[in-house]
Amino acid sequence: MPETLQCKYLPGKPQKSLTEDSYFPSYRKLWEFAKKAYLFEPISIKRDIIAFSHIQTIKFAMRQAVDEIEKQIKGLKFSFPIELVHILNEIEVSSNIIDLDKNWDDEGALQISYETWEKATLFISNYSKWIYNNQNIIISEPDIAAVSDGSIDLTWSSKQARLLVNIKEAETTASYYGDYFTENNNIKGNIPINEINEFFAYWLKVFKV
Amino acid sequence: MWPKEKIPLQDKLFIRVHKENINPKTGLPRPAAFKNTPASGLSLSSDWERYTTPEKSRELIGKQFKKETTNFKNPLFFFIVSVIVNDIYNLSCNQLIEYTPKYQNPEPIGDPNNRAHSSIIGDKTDEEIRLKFVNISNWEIKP
Repeated sequence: MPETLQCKYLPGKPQKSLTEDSYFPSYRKLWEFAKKAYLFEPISIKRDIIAFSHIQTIKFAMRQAVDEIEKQIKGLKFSFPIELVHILNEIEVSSNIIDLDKNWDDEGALQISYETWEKATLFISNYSKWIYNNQNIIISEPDIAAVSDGSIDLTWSSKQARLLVNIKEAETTASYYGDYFTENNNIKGNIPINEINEFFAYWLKVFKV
Repeated sequence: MWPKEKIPLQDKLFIRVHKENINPKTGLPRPAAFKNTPASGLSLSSDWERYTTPEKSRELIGKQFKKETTNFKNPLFFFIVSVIVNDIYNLSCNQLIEYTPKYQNPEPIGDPNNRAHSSIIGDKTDEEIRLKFVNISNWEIKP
């Protein structure tokens, strides 16, 4: 049976759609969280206007409460702690880049191979989970993008720092550069894709959510 | 046809950015937009503001063939950023900027003449330079 949550609104507020922040300050957050976390599946919205008050009913079909999310994307099985669901979502979005045709930029770009995408997702998965499990820090998701030479760029950016990691099809290491928008304290080099480099992981913590 | 000139440090160069090379979350060009064209080539093409505008630069894209085809590119798939010459030199990443106008007579279909054409010469496989290019570029025609 779906659980029913009810929310009563003060009279005089404008009638807007469910996703409006101003109308659902707390419920929107719940709704967004539920969607992201796959904990609940929103199934219906019902609006009743009784006298001068607005009563909104949101029904959620409850799924099992989970700590870990598993998902199959393009034949790869991913498993993330629920706090890292944003990383999983970004990986899912990025899976489109292996569908890009050759010459996708009209300038002669190479296709992105499945193996390169697999390596890139492994890299993100390993580091985000290691930092979460060992430091209890949640890092933001990188932008995952195709590069015209067939490689994949992972870009993290915040107001404080920026970092670019490049994963190439034929290499077992990733090359990277990061800085704090100054010439000081920058990092640059190559790291193995399949292992955790603690120095690099330490730097990645800059991008905590 | 067009004499060689030196591009002043304060001048802008226009660079095209394909729609796939734009970060949908930030709205900024991705570092991938600043690879050489083609990726294995020696330089990144640009257009010098002295002889063109962002709009004309984009329009010209529609007269070019897609790589290794005889189909024209769709200019609407491309957007334009500008970078100031001096900002590129300040990156300290061994880049050289040359005015390299393109002129052929007769003008081949799919490879139009371009008086504004300029080249940003130097290796761009390095992550540092591509990442830094993002922050010195400014949209002229944004998505």
